[in-house]
Amino acid sequence: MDSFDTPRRFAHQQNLQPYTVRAETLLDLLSQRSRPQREALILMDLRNEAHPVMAGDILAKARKAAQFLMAKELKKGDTVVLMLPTSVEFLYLFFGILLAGGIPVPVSQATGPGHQEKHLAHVSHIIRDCEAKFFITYDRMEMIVGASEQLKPLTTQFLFADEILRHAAAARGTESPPSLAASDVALIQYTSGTTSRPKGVVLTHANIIHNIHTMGIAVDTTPDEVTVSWLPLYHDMGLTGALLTVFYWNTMLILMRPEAFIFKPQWWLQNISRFKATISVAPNFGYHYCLSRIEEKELEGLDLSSWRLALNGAEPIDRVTLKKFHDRFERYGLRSNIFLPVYGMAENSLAATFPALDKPTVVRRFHRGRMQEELIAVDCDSEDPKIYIDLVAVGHPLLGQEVKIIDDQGATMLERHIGQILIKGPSLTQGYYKNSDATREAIQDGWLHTGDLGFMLDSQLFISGRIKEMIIKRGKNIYPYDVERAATAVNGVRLGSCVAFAVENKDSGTEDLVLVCESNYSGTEAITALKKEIANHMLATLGFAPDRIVVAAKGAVPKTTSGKVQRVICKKMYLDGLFASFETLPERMSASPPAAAV
Amino acid sequence: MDRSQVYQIQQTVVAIFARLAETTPDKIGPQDRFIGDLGFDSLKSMEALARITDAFGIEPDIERMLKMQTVGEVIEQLVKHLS
Repeated sequence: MDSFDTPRRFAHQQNLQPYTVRAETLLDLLSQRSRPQREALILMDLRNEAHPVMAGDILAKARKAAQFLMAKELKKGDTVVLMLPTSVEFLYLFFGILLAGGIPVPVSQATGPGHQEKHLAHVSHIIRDCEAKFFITYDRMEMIVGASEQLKPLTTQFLFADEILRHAAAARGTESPPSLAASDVALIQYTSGTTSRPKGVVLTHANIIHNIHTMGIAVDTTPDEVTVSWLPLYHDMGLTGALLTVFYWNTMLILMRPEAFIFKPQWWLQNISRFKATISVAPNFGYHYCLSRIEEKELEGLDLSSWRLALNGAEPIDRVTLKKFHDRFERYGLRSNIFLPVYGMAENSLAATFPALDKPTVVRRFHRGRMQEELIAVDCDSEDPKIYIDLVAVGHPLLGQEVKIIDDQGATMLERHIGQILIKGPSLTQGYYKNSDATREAIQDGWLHTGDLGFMLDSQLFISGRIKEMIIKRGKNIYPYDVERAATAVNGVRLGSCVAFAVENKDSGTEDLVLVCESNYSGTEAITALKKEIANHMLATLGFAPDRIVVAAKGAVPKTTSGKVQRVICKKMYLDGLFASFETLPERMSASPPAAAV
Repeated sequence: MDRSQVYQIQQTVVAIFARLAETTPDKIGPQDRFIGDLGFDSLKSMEALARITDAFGIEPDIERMLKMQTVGEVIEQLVKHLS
């Protein structure tokens, strides 16, 4: 079978049809919205009870909050870190900050039973990095011992949301708010930082409005659209993808709290049914989570027939999950072909590519070995999962945008060849806040270098991985997750505390695979035995062993505030010699597998 | 509540944590923190708590549950709640 019988096309797509946006700034969304006195959204609480919120109410409270903030010396262009749960207070203050001329910088609150210290370090980093003049949070922060003491010195104003709103209601503001332009900064969105410390993506009103306009066009939105979202508002998918898009298109939003979804995933589906929702967005895990957590008895009377589009983004998309989700919920009226796998990033305001609506889910089967060894996507008709890999297309660039795939030298590649994905268009940030090094690295000649690997086929984009995390071992491209998972299975290795990465070996001219893992074991003998066991286990399961294994003490492996390992940072720590004390033994492992494993 | 009932609660809780951590129950102790020791991220921690409240047929007080950090705290709260 020849998969190259079609003419060879370059992997470069443009969508340059004309379009006109209908707002200048995010404040227009609210004022346009509040003219008809109907609810702007319905907020669902932690008992899944509905609380309608009127657009006029948001605007009135936001105006009061803006007066209060201006009286506290908030000047145009000042950054305000906003740490609030998904709540009306978030809405009042987000728009209040904008009205006062400030730049909101949303951050996650310490949701979930977690690492308070780590979260505080994360928030402190953001406050310093964006030079926040104001920090606004909720009163529960006081209960976290030491939190306010640690954060207060970092800003001029440390404020509680309820205080602002209480005082603002009584205050009679006289100051006129500054005027805003489309080119003013509207938001600094911090990246999640799995590959580096969080960086502040600077987005203008024009960037965001371009993105929400073109997303609406891509999904062919109509005035009777109803969106259900449980994504957090500090995250771009919740804030820009759900809230701001709905405000711009004058449609209806049912806003759930993320915690509510985690505890009661059936509420998501029940709210879609109850409010006859037409559109909802979730990362892949959200669909998977419904399958594993919802019991049949919780679905009585459920009617999902109104649901026309289920967007899926932010994570690798698994076609098996989509199929299982469809098969499971078909009996409740779920339509077929509603999954819309999408691709985007904070640097591009949110969305970069969407599939065409007449063919929302395109799954193609490729030859796994050739993809790993030759970085080329060759069609495959095998039924053996060791031989094939199924990938889901993420579509075409949104209006006004361009996408291309380049090789190491920066040349545009042909379709089917895997290279780095580049994005360009009016949604794209000018850069990271006061970080010209990172900006220069990411944006060159107006193109965002995403660091994601992918290819194009029949003018559709497919994603295949992250460049910075990819390990090349004996000509094979290995994903770190597979290595880490194998190591974690060994007794003595701490759970979720393994990191795999490649380092250059100047002597051999190849890359060495390094595995760093935490263990509670101590003593040379125990650690040597553990390393041997890890190597043997990996040889038996994966066919190769790491070149170096570092067994470190508990807490040595860097993690994000939500507990995900940070591979790129860990690699840097390793290269800086920070794990040297754990490497007392020359433990270079044999790279050749034992006869039995060949 | 007698000791065998407490033991039952412990067993159930530990089994749920073990399954989510992809490990065996003997590797899990009451002092283990979900994020620091079990390798969970914040979502998985919430999932564990949600599964536990389901297993015991309890309506979760989500606000309160979000403050818990260790396996032992969960067991303690359940024992209190169920006695």
